[in-house]
Amino acid sequence: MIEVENLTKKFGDKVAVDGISFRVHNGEIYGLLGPNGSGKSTTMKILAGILKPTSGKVLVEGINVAKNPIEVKKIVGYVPETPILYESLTPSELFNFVGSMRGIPKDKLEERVNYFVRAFGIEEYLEQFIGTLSFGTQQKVSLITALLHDPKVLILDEAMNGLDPKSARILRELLLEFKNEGKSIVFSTHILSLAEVICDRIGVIYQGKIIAEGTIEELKEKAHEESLEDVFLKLTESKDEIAHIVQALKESL
Amino acid sequence: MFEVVKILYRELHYQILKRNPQIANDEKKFRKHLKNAVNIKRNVAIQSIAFIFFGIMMAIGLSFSDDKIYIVAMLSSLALIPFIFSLYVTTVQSSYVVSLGLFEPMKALPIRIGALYLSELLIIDQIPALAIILPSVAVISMKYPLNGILALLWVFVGMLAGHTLGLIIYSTFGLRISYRKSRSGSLKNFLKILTIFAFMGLFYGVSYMQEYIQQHSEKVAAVIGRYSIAYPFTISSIFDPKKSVVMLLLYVAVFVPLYQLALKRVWSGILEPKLESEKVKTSKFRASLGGKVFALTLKDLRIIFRKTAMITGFLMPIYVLLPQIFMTIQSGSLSLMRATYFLFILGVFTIPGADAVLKVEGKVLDFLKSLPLTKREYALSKALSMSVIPMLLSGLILVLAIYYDSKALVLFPYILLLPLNASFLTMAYFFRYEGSELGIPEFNIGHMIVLMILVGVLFGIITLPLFLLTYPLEYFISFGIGLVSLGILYRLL
Repeated sequence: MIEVENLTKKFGDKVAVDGISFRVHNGEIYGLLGPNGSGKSTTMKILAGILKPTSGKVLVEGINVAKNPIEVKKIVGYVPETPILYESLTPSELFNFVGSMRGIPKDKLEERVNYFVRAFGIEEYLEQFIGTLSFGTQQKVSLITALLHDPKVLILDEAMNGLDPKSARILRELLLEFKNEGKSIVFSTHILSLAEVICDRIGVIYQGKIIAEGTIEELKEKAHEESLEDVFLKLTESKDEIAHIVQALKESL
Repeated sequence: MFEVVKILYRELHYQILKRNPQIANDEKKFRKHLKNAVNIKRNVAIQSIAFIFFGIMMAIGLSFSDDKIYIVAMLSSLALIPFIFSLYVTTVQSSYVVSLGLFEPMKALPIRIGALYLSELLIIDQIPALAIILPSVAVISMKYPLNGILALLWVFVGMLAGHTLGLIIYSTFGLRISYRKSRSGSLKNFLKILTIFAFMGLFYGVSYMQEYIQQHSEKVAAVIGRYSIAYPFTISSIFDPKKSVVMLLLYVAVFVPLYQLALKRVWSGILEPKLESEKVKTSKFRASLGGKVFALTLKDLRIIFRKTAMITGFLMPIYVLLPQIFMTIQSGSLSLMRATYFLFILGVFTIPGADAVLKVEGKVLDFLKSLPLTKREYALSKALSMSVIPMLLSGLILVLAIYYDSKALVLFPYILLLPLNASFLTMAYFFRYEGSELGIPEFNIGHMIVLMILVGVLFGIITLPLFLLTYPLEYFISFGIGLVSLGILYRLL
């Protein structure tokens, strides 16, 4: 379970996250949606123990992230929006490195790596330097490193980025399986149709604040809109803006 | 064009500051440092202060002497520093610049001579090294104006040579991305390192050869000339202006085209890194695990050995010791005291290796931060990573010493103790900041000088028994002090 209370993160004078609160229960996929620069990635990095909050409280499985980030990192699997990994290592070496860092037993590590490597179809890239792999394959490697220790909590920031349709479907099924196992999952995506299918609840973050929260149906009802995309655009004040931009483009062209 | 370089410079130094937790975690400090770091003039001026201090000390010595042999000997030694600095900055810093992705936005632009930006960017960081020799050149110019100007030109040529050779090393070894790891790849990396060693010894090799020829054959010596043809010994020709100008022109004629060629290779390498492909085969994952610190150290070493350009920082002591090793081989003896001195020099020169090990992470720091790793474990692994190569080099010196005198076996503990003391002190210096956040501390010439002084003091304490006691007790007490200091530094990490 994840509990976020009045979380604020400032970078100098800039407020990236402005006093947000939400909860993610066990066995729940929570979608964190928002336009670029709204504070999603910052929030997710704080949940993963990578960034320290300026103020507010974040508890992951009852552990305070600010006070005990190491314990939080032991039970969290985090996938960043861009896979930035050691380019001069091979996926095999990286998995061994992560296994050593997380103290995963040898047989369990072999079993899990081989399982995920087969699932995502990257067997042939195991001994190839990561820097030479395509973006999609690097994203798969990044995903596998986050899943190796069987984390109780998953923080996935645009995890579907660059994945081919087959791998995206496999990840979707895996997430639903993890949900059934009782894991808490925070998931951000710009593919709203995907969020509509897999997220139990959604928080819309805009300019560092959560401006709406609830199930898909609740959000549609509140916004009086038919689709999640329309709900999102309305809440983030983008709908009128898009109409103006399109009109201006048509006129200038 | 300089506008682009200014932007790249600002971005590079902003990124370096951002990765320095000692500064980035303190907003006021960050803003204060940012003002200097992104301002080329201020940053160069601040870095030059460290060099100019030593430069003035040397110049004072020269101002009291009219002995031309003494003057050229001093200048030859000093001129080596800008050369090494250019070589070092070009190879190591260029690898960092590219790994930060500074050129990624430029790739899409219609620019044909993009590497010139890299070259200019690196040259800015080399300027401070000039400060060590400028005071001496100024002193000589007051007495002998023409010869002073020639000395200055030689320094510029030396920097051009260092920069060009750095670009060649980087374009040959630093840009190539091997498609997959293999035994042949490891062998190639080993050979590349050996090549760098050979390259580092080239100048001394040439001068040694020349000395040998001068001693043995008057005819050959007459052909080659009275002075060395290898930089920095070429600077000794300044009191023979005609010869000096001819040699300067020769150096320029060789290094300017080489520079242009290397620049082209670097840019085409940045645009399209060479891939060494092998047949792809499906493989099954086999786990090979270790402790956290071991895994971190192994990872660092793998990356350093695969990005061969990063190794240059570790080879500084070889360049310093090479002439003395040549002399040892020539004289056919190596005393216990001299071997001890070699090991201490190698120990002190463990410090420059910190630059490479601290830069292994770069943009990958966030990935590392997502793992359950403490600052102490991280610092410990960095200390071990930077010690490995100096330990290997110390081992080679010990083998040489034992070859000449089996009593040198007593020095064995120094192989471990000295590099570890230096590296633990270096990491304690960088990682004694508040908070538990991991980071990449900035490593500049100022830090290097401070650390050299600190390690010098520590080594002074460790060597004290060697001056006060007798063999072999002196060594046992010295090892004891080394162990105790290592224990204290371990606790400080």
